[in-house]
Amino acid sequence: MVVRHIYEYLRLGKFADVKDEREAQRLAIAEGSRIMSMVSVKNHLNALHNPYAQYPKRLTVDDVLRSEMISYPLTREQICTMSDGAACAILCDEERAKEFTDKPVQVTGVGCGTDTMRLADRPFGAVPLLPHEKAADYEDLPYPGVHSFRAGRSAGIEAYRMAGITRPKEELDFIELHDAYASSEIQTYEDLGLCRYGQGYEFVERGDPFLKDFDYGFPVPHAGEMPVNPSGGLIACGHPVGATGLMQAVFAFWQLQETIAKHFLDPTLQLKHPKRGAIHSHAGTGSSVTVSILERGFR
Amino acid sequence: MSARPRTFSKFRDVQAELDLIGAAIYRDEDGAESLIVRSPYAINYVHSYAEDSPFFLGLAEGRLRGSKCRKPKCGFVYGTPRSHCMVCGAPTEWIDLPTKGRVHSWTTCHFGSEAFLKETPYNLALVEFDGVGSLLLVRLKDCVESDLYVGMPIEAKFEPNPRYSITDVWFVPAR
Repeated sequence: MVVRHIYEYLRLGKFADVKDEREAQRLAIAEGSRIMSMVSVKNHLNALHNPYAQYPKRLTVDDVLRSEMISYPLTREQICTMSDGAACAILCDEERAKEFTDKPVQVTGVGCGTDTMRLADRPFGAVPLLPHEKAADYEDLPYPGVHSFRAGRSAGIEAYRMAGITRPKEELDFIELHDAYASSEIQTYEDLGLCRYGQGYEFVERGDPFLKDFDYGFPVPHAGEMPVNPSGGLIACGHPVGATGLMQAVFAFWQLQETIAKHFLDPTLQLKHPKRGAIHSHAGTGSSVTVSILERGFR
Repeated sequence: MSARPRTFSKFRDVQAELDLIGAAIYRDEDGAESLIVRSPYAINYVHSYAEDSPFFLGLAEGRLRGSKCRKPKCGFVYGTPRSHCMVCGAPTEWIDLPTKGRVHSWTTCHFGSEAFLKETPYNLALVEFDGVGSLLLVRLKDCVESDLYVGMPIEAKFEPNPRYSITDVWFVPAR
């Protein structure tokens, strides 16, 4: 229920000065919907260069807003489709990996977080903090409510700790994350500490998660700072439940090998010499979330 | 009469034809044809509510029940049945929840599972109660999308002829 995320961070943020409560919430929802649509445009458009994507397309923010309403305020184009698909990866020790490839990728961190199946049951409590955050940042935030995924946050903390990451935005070159909804992509920027809780919408507007040198139809001044779902994510690739997490692992693997051009028959989505990326996957209602850190395992 | 159902090469069209007349022929990429039919399929699901039983029995009496941690130092209060405390792990006891609360978050479903498809659009809300540390998901009736807002005061209504399901309770805007 993204309305709460919008309420917490846009109604009480950007629209804090609007006196009439209902009017303020209406304005906040319109603004949140517009920004979520930018995420949908990004993922669909990136996917135009990914031949494995099932729903690549060029859309405008208005196209996304005008698509069929599914669960207010989320529209069809802001939601992934459960689909069929398969992916596979070989996990083995370093010696064996060298037998298969001279460009192996190393798993340097794994994390798993859990929460209750029913959203309603998640007890309010303190925000589990990342190394670059302080308790004072979130003093009055009723957490997690339904605006954030505590399981995603704890999975991130665990994986970052294992990989020795203290400033995720600076130390990761890209993320493939579980954008079942455009809203959950924004929630996950915050859960994984790419920005603080409450800054997800600005993060999109500044353009950080977008790819450089792409024409998305609106300005993205910070494009390329922190590419998120360069493959097109679940929204544009489809969500073959069970294979989805591995699909992200495969895309991340090719990014780190710098073999996107070979596999996609198109070099457009290849990031420039990425050293370290993260993949993030959900099960259930955010009741089990995993984060893995993948690093280039060759010189 | 035409005995042979119509033939389609897209499964989407087969689906539509099944909705219409219950049978269709699917032709795959290699030209192989298969007759596809739709037959009704239903089962009775017999299950226990086990430790959650008092919650559903409570709904039938017009009571909304939650759980409270028995450990005095913790005492966390849940808006749903929880046999054990998620904060400290101690067993909980049953408490009566207030029947009035506020909308914590909401959505209007324009789509739904088959059982609820006919009722769309309908509203879902997560209710927050004073003094309770988690929420309750309910249907919100007697109001439409444009009436809803976070913080809206709402109150519980109970089904006079209980079916011992979560649909025995719903909320409406508070008077």
